[in-house]
Amino acid sequence: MAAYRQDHVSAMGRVGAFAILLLYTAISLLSLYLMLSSSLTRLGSSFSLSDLDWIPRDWAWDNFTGFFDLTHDSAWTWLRNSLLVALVPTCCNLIFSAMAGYALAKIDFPGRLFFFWLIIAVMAVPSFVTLIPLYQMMFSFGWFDTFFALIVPRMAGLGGVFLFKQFMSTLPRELMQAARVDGASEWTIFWRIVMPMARPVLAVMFLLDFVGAWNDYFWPYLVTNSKDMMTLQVGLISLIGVDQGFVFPVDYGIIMAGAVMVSLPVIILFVALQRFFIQGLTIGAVKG
Amino acid sequence: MVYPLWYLVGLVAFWGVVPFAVLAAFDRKRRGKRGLSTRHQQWFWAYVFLAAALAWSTLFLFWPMAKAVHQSFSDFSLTSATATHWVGAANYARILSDPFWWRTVLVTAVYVAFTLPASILISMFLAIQILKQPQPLQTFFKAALYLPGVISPVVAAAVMKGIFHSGDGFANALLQGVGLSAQNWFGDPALAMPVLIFMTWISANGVGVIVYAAAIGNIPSTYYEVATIDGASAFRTFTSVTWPLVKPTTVFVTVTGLIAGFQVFAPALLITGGGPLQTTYFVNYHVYRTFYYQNDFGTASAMAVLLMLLIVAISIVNYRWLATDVEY
Repeated sequence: MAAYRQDHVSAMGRVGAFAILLLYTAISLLSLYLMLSSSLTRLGSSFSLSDLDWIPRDWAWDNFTGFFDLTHDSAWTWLRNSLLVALVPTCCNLIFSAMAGYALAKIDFPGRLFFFWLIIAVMAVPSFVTLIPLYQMMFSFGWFDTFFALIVPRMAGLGGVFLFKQFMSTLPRELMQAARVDGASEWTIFWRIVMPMARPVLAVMFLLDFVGAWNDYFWPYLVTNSKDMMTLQVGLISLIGVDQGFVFPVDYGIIMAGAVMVSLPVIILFVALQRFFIQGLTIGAVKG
Repeated sequence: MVYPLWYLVGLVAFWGVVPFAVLAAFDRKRRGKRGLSTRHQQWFWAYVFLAAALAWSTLFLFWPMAKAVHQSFSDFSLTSATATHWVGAANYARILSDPFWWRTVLVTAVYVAFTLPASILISMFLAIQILKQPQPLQTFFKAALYLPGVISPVVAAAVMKGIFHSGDGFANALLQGVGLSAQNWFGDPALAMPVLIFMTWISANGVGVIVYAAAIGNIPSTYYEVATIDGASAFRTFTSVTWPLVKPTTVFVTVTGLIAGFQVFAPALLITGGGPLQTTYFVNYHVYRTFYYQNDFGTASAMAVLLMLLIVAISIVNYRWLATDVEY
């Protein structure tokens, strides 16, 4: 089936392609490597990188403890906040989106087409349109600078429904009909039959949602004020500054140690789940 | 703090019950039957399954959208001492006649024009190279190329500030290493935008590569065999076989890329501050400054609505232009 079957490509062509890929991947990952190597180098607050080597020469692990010292141990609070803010809404959203996707894919009801197109349409709505009213809403609800603002708005929504709908459309209808004939309720069918089969897409959605929530910086930056409510991303923003500066008031090595710690959870999760991930990204994308 | 949660409870109950009740009542009346059939039970469950997603989007998406549109016709502002007035289309008229607004649109359009087509071509090229590799290497390269995509914009910004530091950054160390003079990167109006664009070329093609690899991998090999028998060159094979057959994927990548591209924001907030000389002052950054610093919620909402209209218009034009059903 595959288009570029290996026997169609000469050995030379394959090696050439490999070399190109290797070079591009190296360039692409260079900035991550620089992050890692500077996190292990003593750079000082003067920001002089000229003495930085490709392989860190000091192995300055104390940059990592330095990050906690610099933030007066607030980083532990930020870590806890980040975990909470990423995990709770992601798990809720996963279940609610799967339910909605199942209804749209496998139940015939009036309004189905309307909701399907609604989901497509809201994808084109820029987040900044709703941002200002949501910001005002957080004040009128008394949610500003609380976990409510960070967690509740993301617990469900339409963003993840499309992927579930696309995946569940591929499940055989006979399976659900058979269960219905056997007297299973719609909830039983969903929970006991559909959800176990949807494991690959659940893994993908968990990863996409978790990474999105973990990496989100702007909403937490807007609605938090106190040091205790910040997430890791907002904490890192407070170290690198917004709106103008490329000034580093503190040791760049320590900032990079913080950056490594912020990135590590998502990198580990990605590496662990990447098999699902690569499959999942192509659901709904390949054929119109 | 807790009482707004009751809005959500109410909305879940509303979406779970009301649409179903209305639809079932109409259906019974039309058919002149009493009682609920199995069909109606299915409708009921469908709306129960949708209730949470719809309740949350009502409170946190539809209502804010309506409010943004409504607010865009007012002079609501946190700083002005006067009451809020209904100003009609005055905000829109003022924005559209403001050269600076068009400048931010131009800056954003330039960014999209230099990142999106390049990203499509680079992704396709890399996907074709990946498909020439044995299976384990395919997986490796797909994962490695996607990896920069899981890094947060904040971390990416922190790293880029170090790489392109005007003094002793990595980029300058590299330039000086080959005997060139150091650059002021994000401090130089001629360089800030090109640097941002260049960074997307080298590190933001993970999704595109994975999606194109799947699409190109799905093309039946007979097409390529025929092309080989006809003696078509690699370039001709690409333009006559690969490109037309992956068009649905190109539509998908283009439209999602346009939607994301026109909302570019993080580099301006975290790296350049819109500068130097406002060469990286993206539309969203303009909205943010108007709303967050000037507290002019009416004007900022109008700008956001205009951006939405722009994105929708460009997406539709592209969809019309590119979308043709491909059968094979």
